[in-house]
Amino acid sequence: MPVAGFGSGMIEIPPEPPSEGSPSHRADSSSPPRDNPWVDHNPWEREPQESQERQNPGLLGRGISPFSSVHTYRSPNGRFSFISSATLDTGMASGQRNNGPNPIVPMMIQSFDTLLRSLMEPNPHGYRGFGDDPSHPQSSTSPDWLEDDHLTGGHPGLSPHNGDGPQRINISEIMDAVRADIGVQTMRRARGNRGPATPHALSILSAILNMTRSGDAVYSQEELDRVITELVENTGGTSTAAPPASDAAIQALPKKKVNEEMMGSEGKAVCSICMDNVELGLEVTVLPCTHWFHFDCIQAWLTQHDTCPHCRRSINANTEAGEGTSENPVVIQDSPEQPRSDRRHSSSRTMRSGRSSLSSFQSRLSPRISPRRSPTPEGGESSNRQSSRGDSSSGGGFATWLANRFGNSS
Amino acid sequence: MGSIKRISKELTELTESPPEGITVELADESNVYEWKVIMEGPEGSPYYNGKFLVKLSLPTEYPFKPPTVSFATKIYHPNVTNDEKGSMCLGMLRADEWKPSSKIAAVLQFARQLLSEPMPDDAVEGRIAEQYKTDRGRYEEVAREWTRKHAS
Repeated sequence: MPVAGFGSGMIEIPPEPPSEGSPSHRADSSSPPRDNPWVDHNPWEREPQESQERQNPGLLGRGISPFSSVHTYRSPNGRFSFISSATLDTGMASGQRNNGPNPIVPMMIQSFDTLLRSLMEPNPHGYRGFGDDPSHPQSSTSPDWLEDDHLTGGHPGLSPHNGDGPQRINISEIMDAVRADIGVQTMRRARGNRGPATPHALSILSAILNMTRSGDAVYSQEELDRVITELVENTGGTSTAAPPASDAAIQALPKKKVNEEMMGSEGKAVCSICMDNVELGLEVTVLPCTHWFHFDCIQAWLTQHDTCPHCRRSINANTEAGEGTSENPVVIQDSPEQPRSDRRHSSSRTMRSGRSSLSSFQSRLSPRISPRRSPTPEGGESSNRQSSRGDSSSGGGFATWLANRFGNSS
Repeated sequence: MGSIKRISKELTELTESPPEGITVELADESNVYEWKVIMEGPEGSPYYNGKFLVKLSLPTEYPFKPPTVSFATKIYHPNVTNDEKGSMCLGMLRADEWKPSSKIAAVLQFARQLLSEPMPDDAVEGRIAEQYKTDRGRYEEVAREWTRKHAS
């Protein structure tokens, strides 16, 4: 059964002295350690719909339902507290995968939807919409894309109006990010229309769930660790691993017959990829750093990374730019280039507000989302609009706009 | 597959001229991707006289993807997770730092070197790392105790 997950988690580390003894895993404890006032802190408590869900043991509760789980992990002295919740989908967005009607699924969807709705509905204390903000230089010359909901909603994390707890903000920012990546046009609300958010929430949800690999649902601490590790490794949105080399670049590499100089003083040399000895006169492929390999061997590596497998120098001898820089960007196939720069901006924005996990969340989602962007006229319009975002000729571009808007440079 | 040839070659080298304190064999003769390594605690370390069973797993993409190293024998060390997995954190084994030209012998020697010289700043067990830095005597005592209890 295809499953997908949606999880959230917190790690809270009060400045306590280290404990003796190894960490243990246990379920919700009714006696929170006194020294950690945040142990039972529940960011969802303010959400009535969520409370409703929590009261239903069939929906949320460890091991009770195969479709959802909540795991609470706490170190013995309460120094660490980690809560994860996973909600599973049985393939609601792809009918062919449904093995049969399941009464719990619609319930689940509805509950989740209710939750999302409550998160996306304008907040009573809350931030104001774009149109309400008199300080904003909205004018008829504003680029069209400024209407995009994820921009106009205001960023509650930076708004003075939010007194309602940081977790709410996180979620709404995550949803913003997701929407930005999925292609906001599909779930854009008409200007001024603050109607029910249900269809948006559902399409976001189905998009997320559809994208998510089955491996993203976590059932155990071990799997959670794995997911966290993956997230940490991807943090920053820019992987440090080098991008693949182009086929043309690989074919263009010079070839050379092994000579005595290359055999070294011992008269013996190996290709350091396959570790096979090479003989005098054998044709090998030479990289700009002068390291050489069998063509087949180096080709297999270069189709994954465009650096020398021995010294890591780029094979693009003419550019001093390292991998992943603006001069040598990573291009994800089937993914329009412009949303990348959009994403980079939003990454730096979220990084500045200290939520690096969000950017890794985005970067994990986006490559899988992009190819699925629907080829409808609306979708085409979407990429056109996004292209105009990064266009520096349109008055400073998105980054400048962000900087002006939030008073943050770089 | 090319990787099998290289792996067999490395296995032969390692069994014919094993590095100090390291012996390797396949966990299952029919599978070259799973290795059983016996690592002796280096002299001068609190692990001395201990014999640690280390599992080395090679991905099918080896040598383009790094192997993973885990301690099946419980060990008290800042760079080895204190759980049933016993994963060892080695910088050179991270996907983005791995070089195909690194050999398994080098990986294992590096791992053994880490027993002599833990890297508390790159730790997976923060508590042990902290103790290693602030109370070396106690760390060595516990590490010796664990070695005696689990690795001999």
